[in-house]
Amino acid sequence: MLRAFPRLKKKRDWRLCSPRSDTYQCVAWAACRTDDKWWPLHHPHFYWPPGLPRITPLPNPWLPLPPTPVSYLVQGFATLGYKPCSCREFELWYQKVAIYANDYGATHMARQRFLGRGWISKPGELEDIIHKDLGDIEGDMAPNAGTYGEVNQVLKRSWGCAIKNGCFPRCLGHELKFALFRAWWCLLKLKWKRIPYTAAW
Amino acid sequence: MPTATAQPRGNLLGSIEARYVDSHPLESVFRHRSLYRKDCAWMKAASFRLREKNHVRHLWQKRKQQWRSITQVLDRMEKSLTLEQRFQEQALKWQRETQHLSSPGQRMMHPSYQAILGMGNENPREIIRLMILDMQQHRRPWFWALSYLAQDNPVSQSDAGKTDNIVKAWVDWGKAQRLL
Repeated sequence: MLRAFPRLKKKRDWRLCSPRSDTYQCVAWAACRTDDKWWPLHHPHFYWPPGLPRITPLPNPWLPLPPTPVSYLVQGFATLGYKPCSCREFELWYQKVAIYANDYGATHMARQRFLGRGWISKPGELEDIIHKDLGDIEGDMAPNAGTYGEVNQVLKRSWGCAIKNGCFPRCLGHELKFALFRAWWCLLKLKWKRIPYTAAW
Repeated sequence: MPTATAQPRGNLLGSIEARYVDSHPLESVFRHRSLYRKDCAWMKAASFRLREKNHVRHLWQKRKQQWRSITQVLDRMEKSLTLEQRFQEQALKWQRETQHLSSPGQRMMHPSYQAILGMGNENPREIIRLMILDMQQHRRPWFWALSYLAQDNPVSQSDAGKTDNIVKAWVDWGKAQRLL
């Protein structure tokens, strides 16, 4: 984790908050889903809301995939009621997600916690992490650097919209699950240790 | 060195003294001897330099031979690695360096992924088998490479994004193709 995000080395206000899982990734997590992977790619290995633009991979995998425009993610999250906003700070009546992008296009998403207590990210197949600022996991903008680049766009929706979409109970469920998980972890004094892989949460 | 234009000292023997004191009869011998010694010193230095140069050349050749033998040993080791060992090595590297990434494009750009695709071009059937086994054991997502190498995709649209179902679909496909 620290090798992937060198800025976290200098900070103490971040922590792991879930077991490792490869059943979902950052975009699905931002959409309050933990049972599938979301990406605007025209391939059956990723889910994306139907009828929205996706990138079409080239037939030859030796060639790199076309870059993922941030606008595709914005359109996908518009179906969940999110709208672009310019403010990264906590606003009481709104739930926020942030889109990271580097020179290659969109790379990652993070979701704000309840009451603005930091952000939760799901980095690939690793554990979920709670970090205080969006800048904690930012990195180089070069496509081959293996980092997320910088925050490109912040989206927000009202909690009323989240309830209407059925996301609110799921978010609350995740918070409770992860709180229980953290308590169990602390009790076992395994807070900072890697736990074995679990196939499904 | 005595000079040829030495002045007499003022007595009768002056000129004779001057001859013996200021210019020695063996002056030319001395001069030649000093030149000879200088020559000897230069020769010594030159021979030392030559020997040193030869020594350095010898060391350099010895080092080159060592490197040649090391590379030969490494080549032999690399050739002796089986396809499965090379696959596992690259797969581990790929997972270690890209497991924090979500973007499929970023993950597929990694050199280890490309190296495994290259191995797949050499021996597609064996690499497909290794990929499916690896997916079962370590759950590394080889889906995109698999669908390219196998020229097939057994995953249905209803299972899109569901990793467990995708792995199961590929394992069933491998069994149907008698790869597992």
